[in-house]
Amino acid sequence: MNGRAMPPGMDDASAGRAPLQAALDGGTLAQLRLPAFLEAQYHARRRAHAVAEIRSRWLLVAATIAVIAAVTFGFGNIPVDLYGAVVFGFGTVLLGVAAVGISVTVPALHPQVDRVLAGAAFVSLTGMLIGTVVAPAGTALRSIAEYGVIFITMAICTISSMSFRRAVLVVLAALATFFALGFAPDWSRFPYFALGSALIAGLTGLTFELRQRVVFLQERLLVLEKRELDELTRELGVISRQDALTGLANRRHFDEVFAREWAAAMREGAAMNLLFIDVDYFKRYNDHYGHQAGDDCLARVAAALAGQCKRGSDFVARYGGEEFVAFFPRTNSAGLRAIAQRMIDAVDELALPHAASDSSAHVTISVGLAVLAPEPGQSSEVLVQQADAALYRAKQAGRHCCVVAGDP
Amino acid sequence: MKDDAGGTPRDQERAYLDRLLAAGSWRRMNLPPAIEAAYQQYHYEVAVAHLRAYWPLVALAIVAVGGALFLLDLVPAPLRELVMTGVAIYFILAMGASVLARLSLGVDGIRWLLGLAATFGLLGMQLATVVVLATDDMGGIPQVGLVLVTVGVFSISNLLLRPALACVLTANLLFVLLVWRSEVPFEWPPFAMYSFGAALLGLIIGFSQEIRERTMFLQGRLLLLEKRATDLMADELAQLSRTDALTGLVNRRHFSEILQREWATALRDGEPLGLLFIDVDHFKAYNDRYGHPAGDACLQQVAAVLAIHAPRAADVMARFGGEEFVGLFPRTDADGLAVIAARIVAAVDALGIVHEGAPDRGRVTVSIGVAARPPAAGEHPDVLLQEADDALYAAKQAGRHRFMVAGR
Repeated sequence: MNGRAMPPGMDDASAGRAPLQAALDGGTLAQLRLPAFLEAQYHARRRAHAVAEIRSRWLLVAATIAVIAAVTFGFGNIPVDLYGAVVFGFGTVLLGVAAVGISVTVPALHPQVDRVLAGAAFVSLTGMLIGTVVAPAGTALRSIAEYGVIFITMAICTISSMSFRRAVLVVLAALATFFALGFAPDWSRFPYFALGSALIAGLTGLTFELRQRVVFLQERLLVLEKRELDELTRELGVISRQDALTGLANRRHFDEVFAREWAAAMREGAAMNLLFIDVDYFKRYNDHYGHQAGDDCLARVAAALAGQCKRGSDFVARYGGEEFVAFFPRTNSAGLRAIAQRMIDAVDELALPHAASDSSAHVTISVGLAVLAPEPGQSSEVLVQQADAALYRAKQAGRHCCVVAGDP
Repeated sequence: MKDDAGGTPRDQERAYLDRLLAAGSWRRMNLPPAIEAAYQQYHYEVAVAHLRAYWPLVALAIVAVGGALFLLDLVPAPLRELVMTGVAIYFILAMGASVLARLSLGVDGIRWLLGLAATFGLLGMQLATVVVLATDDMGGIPQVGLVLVTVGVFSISNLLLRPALACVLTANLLFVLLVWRSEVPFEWPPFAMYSFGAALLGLIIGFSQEIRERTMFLQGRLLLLEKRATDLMADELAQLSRTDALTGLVNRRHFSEILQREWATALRDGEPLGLLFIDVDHFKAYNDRYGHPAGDACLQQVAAVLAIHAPRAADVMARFGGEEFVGLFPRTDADGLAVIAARIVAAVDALGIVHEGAPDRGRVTVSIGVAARPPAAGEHPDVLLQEADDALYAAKQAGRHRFMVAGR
C-alpha cells in the first residue's frame, strides 16, 4: 500500500474532506485500504507515534524482560546443558530491545524504526518457538517458553506499534522459520498456545489498527474542519464590518471604532475630529445615469477617500447612501483642513462626468469638519452632529468645498 | 459567532473536547459523567452489533476447534467427556450471548450479560486446570487456555477495561474460594504467575484498546459539533451577505439576483411580475432635523411595516439603498399590487412618526411607484425597475404620500 505513487498535488489540502469522510463512512474495508496519499500520511503518523511511545517505554520493557529472565533462572529448573541456550535466548531478546531503543533515540534512525522493531520481534518469537521444543517436555521451562510465545505474539499484534500487516508478516515469518529449521513441535500442545494466541492476537490487532486508522482520519478531518471554521469566522468578521459596495468599513463598524476612540480621547484629554463627506447632487446622478452607474460612482469615490488615509489609525467609513465619514487621530486643525482639501481634490481628479450637477461638470464632494475635546459624560453623537451641521453649511455655501465647524 | 468558552453550551463542549484530546491518555479514562455515559452507550451499541453479527461465528469456531481436536485424536481418552463438556459450555456461552443481544437489554443489561459470560468462561477454564492437573494427561493445556481466555476478556470480549478487570478479579476470587474449600491439592505459585502475567498483559492491551476507542468517540463527537458550528457559521454568513444590516430586509445585491430569477420564471409562465419602488418622503430633512440615529430608527420602523405587507413566501421586500425600498410580487397584476401599495401608504402614515420638517403633513410618509406586467422576451428586468422608479417620480411630483401605477 505504501508503494503506490502519490498522485501529483494530492495532499490533504487539495483533496479536502471528501476522501476522509468517504473512508470514515465506508467502513472496515475502506479504512484498511485508504487512498495512497492518506495511507502514506497514516504510516508517517503511526511511525511518529511509535517513536514517541517506544522512547518512553523501552527501558521498562527491557527491565520486565530482565525480571522474567531472573524468574526463569530462579524457578525454571533449567537443566545444566540448556543453561547456555537460555542465556543466549534472553540475551538476544534484550539485544533486540536495545536495538529498538537506540533506533528511537537516534533521530537519524527513525525511518528504520519499523524494520528494527520487526527484526527484534521476529528474533524473539522465533527463539521462543524453538524454546518450546528444546526445553524438556513436562518441565517448567517448557511452560515458560509456551507462555512466552503467547505473550510475544499478543504483544507483536497489539501494543508493539507495528502496523497490523507487518505484525502478521512477522508472526508468519517466525512460524515459517521455525518449521524451516526442522523443528517438530509437540502437536498435542502446539495448536493450543501458538494458534490460539495467533487467533486472539489477530482479532485484537485488527481492532487496534482499525481504531488507529479511524482516529487518524478523524484527526485529519478535524484539522480541515477547524481550518474552514476559522476561515468562515474571519470572513464573517470582515463581512459584518465591511460595506459590501465600497469595501470601506460599514456604519456599524464605524460606530464601534468611533465610540472607542472617543472614550480614549476623553481619557487622555485629547481632541477628536470628524469629517462628514457627501457626494454632491448624487440623487440627480442616480436619476440621470441609473442606479448601476450610481453604485460605480460611489465605489470610485470611496476608493479616492480611502487613498487619503495614510496611517493605520486613520479611519474612513461609508455612513449610508452617499455619505461618508472619516477621522484622523492626533491630527491638528491645519492638518485636517489639508486632508479635507486633498479628499476634495482626489474626487475631482476622478473626473467622473456629472451632467446633472449644478456645481461642476463632474462628480464633486462637500466636506464638513468638526474638532472637539470630549468632556466627561458627553456623547460622541455631539461631534457627529457638529460635523453634519458643518457639512450642511458647506452645501449651503455652494458645495464642492469644506466648512469647519465653528468657523465664521 | 463566539469561538471559545463562554459561548453556547455547544461551544463550551467543543472547547472542552479540544482540551481533553490535547491532554494525556489518562484524562480520557475519566470523563465527566454526561460524556462518560454517552461513551458507554456508544461502546455497548457497537458491542451489541458485534455480538449479533460475529458471535454466532465465534460459537461455530468453538465447535469447529472442538471437532478438530477429536478428529485429529488430540484428546486423551480419560478427558474426552471433560473437553466435550467444555466445548459445549463455551458454545452455549457464545451463542447465548449472541441471542440475548437481540433483546433490547440497554447498557447495563449488555454489561451484565458480557460480564457473566466472561466470569464463568474464565472460571470454567480455571477449574479445568485443577481437574486436568489431577489426571496429568494434557498437563499445561488448560493453563494455556486460561491465559488466552484472560487476555480475551480484556481484548475481544467487548467489555470495557474496568468491568473486564472486575470479571477477572471475581473469577479469581471464586476460584480461590472453591479450591480452598474443596481441599483439592493445588500448586499455587505457577498459577499465580501465569494468571498474574496474563492479567497484566490483558490490562495493557485493554487499556491501549480502550484509549483508542475513547479517542475515536471524543473525536467523532467533536467533529459533529465542529460540523454543526461550521454549518451554522456558513448559514449566518449567507444570511448576512443577503440581508441589509440596518433593517433586516433583503439587501440590494440579493434582490437583484431574485429579480433576475423571478423575471425568468414570469417570462416562462407568462405571469405578471409586480414591482413596488418605495421612497420615504423628505427623509434627508428628517435626518438633518432629528439626527442620524433617529433616521435609522425611522427606517427600521418603515421597513417593519413593509415586511408585513409582503406576506407570501415568494414576496420579497428589500432595501434598495438609503431611504429607498423595493418590493417584488410574483404573479401579481397591477390592480392587486395597487391594493398593497395603498395599504402600505396608509400603514406608514398610521405609524405616526412625527416629522416637523415635512412641509405639509408633519408625519413620516412614503411615496410608491407601482409597475406590474408580464415580461417581454429579450427585455432586461431593470426595465421594470425603471418603470416603477418613473411611477415613483410621478407620485413625488403629484405631492407625495401616495402611489402611482406605471402607464396609468
